[in-house]
Amino acid sequence: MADSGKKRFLPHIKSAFERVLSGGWIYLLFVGLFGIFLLIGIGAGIHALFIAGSRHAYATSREIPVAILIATYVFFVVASTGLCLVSSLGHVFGVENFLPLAKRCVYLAIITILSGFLVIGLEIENPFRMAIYNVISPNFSSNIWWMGTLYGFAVVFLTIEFILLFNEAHHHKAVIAGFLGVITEVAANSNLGGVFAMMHGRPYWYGPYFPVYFILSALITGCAFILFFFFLAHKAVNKKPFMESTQTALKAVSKLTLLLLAVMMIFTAWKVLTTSVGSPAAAAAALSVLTEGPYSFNFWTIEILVGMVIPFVLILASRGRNLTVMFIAAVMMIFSLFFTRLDMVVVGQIVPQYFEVGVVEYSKLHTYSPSIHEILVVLGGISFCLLAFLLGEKVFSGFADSPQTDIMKEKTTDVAGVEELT
Amino acid sequence: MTDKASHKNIPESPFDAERRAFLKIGLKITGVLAGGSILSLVSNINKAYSLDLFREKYPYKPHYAMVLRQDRCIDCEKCMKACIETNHVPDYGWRTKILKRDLSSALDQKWEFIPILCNQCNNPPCVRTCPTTATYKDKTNGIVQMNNKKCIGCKSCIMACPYDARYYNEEKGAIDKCDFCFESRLSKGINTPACVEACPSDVRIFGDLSDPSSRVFQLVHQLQRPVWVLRQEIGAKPNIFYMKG
Amino acid sequence: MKRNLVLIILLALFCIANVGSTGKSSFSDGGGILYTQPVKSVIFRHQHHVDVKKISCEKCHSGLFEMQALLAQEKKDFIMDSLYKGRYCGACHNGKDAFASDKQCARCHVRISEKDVGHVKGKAKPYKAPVYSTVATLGKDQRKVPFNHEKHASLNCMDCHSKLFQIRKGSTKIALETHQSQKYCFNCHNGKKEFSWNNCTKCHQNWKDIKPYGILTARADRGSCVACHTNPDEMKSLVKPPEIGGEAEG
Repeated sequence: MADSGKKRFLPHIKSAFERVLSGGWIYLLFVGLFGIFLLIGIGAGIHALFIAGSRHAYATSREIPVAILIATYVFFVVASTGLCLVSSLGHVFGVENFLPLAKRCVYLAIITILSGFLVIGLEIENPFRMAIYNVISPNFSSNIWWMGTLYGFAVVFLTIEFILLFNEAHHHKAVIAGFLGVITEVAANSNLGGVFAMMHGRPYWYGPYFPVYFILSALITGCAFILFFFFLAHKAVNKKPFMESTQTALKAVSKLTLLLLAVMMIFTAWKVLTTSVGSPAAAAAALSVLTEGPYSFNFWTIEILVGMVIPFVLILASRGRNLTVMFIAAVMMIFSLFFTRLDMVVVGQIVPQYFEVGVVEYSKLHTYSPSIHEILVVLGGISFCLLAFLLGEKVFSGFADSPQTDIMKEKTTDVAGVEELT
Repeated sequence: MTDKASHKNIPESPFDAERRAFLKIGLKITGVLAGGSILSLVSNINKAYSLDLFREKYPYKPHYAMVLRQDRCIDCEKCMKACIETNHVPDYGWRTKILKRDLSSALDQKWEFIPILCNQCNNPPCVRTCPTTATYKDKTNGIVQMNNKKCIGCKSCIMACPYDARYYNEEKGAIDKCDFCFESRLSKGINTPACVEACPSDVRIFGDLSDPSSRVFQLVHQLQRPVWVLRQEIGAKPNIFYMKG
Repeated sequence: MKRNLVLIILLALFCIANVGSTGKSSFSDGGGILYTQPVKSVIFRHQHHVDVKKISCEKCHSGLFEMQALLAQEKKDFIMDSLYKGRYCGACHNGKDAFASDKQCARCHVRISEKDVGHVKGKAKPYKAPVYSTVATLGKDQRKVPFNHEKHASLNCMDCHSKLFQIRKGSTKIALETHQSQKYCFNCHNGKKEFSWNNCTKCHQNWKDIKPYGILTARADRGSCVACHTNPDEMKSLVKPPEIGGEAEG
């Protein structure tokens, strides 16, 4: 049995390995680099948790118990939801322009969840207990439980869908798996927002805003990741010209991005306005940290300018055709989104809980800046994502010759003059 | 509790309304967590004890609560020392603490001391958020307890707590917090937490909120001197009450 | 008759004006005395009570409190109950003379850094001795002796005000024969530690002022002068230094 199994898979593995090696020395250099950073990150995390102790190695404290590692986790899993959602517009909900995105997006959705799990596995103190007690002792009122469980299911569904996507005959099953994947992803993402939004002890987070915001932000992050990774894949890794269908898809994505950025700006404006009005005082205090306090550079420059305004202008100027400009916009958005997550997590905790009581011990804002261990773990997570992307491009032959896109080609040639997104 | 204010045709003071609101700690609160059915803590009690006016509102027997008369606190820190000794609290954490509030424009005394500890909330954000039910509200006495072996150290309960009452204890490998000395004293037959016994000024009064003969009941159920809780607007419905006088 | 009356009135006024005056100058105890027993911590600031409230020394230091700092906390009855019964601070902090001891607890019970106080157990005493610059007058009429605290500033308050001197006015009576004992000033001013009391003008300033009282005393004692003055006709010098018989020579 094992032999036949080996015989079935071994040639595939061999050819995959050969494809990876055929990438050229720059490609292999980056693979090696990301691999090293990944190992360093994992090593730093293990050292922090099990050897040095998180109290010494991580910069978190009793007052700010979670920070950059959770923010990185949020960043990745929200990206996963976005990738899944945007690509599902095509292969689940049938919007044809988005069809060419399917395989790569599903793959990216899987690896981003895995990156997030990697980072959070190195953040919580007892990761092995989680595997046991999340299963046998669940708390159905816990948003974290739902989020973890649903993202776990999402990985499974997406993996099934991914495998099924390679075989055109299983197209319908892939759609079902994809649909389940989308549902679990969106539910998990919303619960992730709910983790923060249902903490009535943290007025900055509390309320209906964050779960809704997270879905919107997921879409934007997904669009940014698509523009980023598709550009890299075609220009840097595979060095193949863009197919017409892919260009159309990316144009559709860019238009979606424009719309979503506009909506995001409205969301952000109203969040700032309504929170700043005054009550509860702790929420207004937290917001003032963001708008005029120590994090104001993060907010105005990185989140608003680099993350929303400039990409909006760039994508508008690119008219959905200039892929390089779109790529630059995507890079800026991704950079900004990481800091948006960090700001959300830290600013919600930076105002002391007893701030309004007016006591000496809690009269100043808490402070946080990431420690070396945390930065290394974050880099490890990012390296995992990029490494898996690079390897995936070669192993899965650039996702380009998939039956899906062939079908798409036929469809585009059938319908005359399809160049624009209807 | 009869509505004394309406009998006398005197408008109810905000303190009364507040106190009445956070004494309504029966079904309405325990049902909030998950749509009502999963954590209905009242059902056990109702079966075991006869329903009367008080026990309807107090789903725990004994319903442990503490009154802190903060005008008597002199920051001698004996409560902190007793807690650290009794519960082996490490030096990087605390279960109870004394805060100092300065008010330089006050006429006489220019500062006051406010002891804080876990409020054993009736609507605890920490219990809601724990993914593995490692922290749970004890069905009998209402103390928010820890089951250390289940704790995965995600620290979302520390994020959720409005009162900064929780911390990660490296030796236990789990979150630690005040449990009214349940593990170290109450469960062994000693009736008071260590801090209550150590206080020389009778600041901390501990007892069964559902028992009309207890000091805690009598102090909370009087209208002359205001009784309040910390961060009442959060809605966690704490069991630690503060008063002066 | 009239002249005598005027003299007597003047004399009376003089006495009243000079009897046992206490200092009203600033008193420094290095920032306060911090009691850390039986509970920590209670602060007492002399500056507030002496300079601001203008309470004279003997109000507290004639039975309520020893003058030595931090001695009170060594006593077993230094508890709130004693204060409620009128002991220690409770003598004034009873609700009438000052706020009651069972109100405003945190006015005295503080959280203070040990750096900011002068006296705390386990720490060396403040950097310099308390400043007390008033000249007190001992005695009345021509026998009065001005006592300059500042000249004695190198000493600890307790060195004199423990057993030697009560602060309460009128509590110290020094007669001529007392000069021979080791009590009061003469514990030091016996010729061995400091200048001898034989140098009358060092304290009494004008020999003519005290001259009559020597004779008066001698007449009352019937011959006590002879014990020192072997030459009874000569008061200015002593033939030999008097022997202070019996007690320790110092």
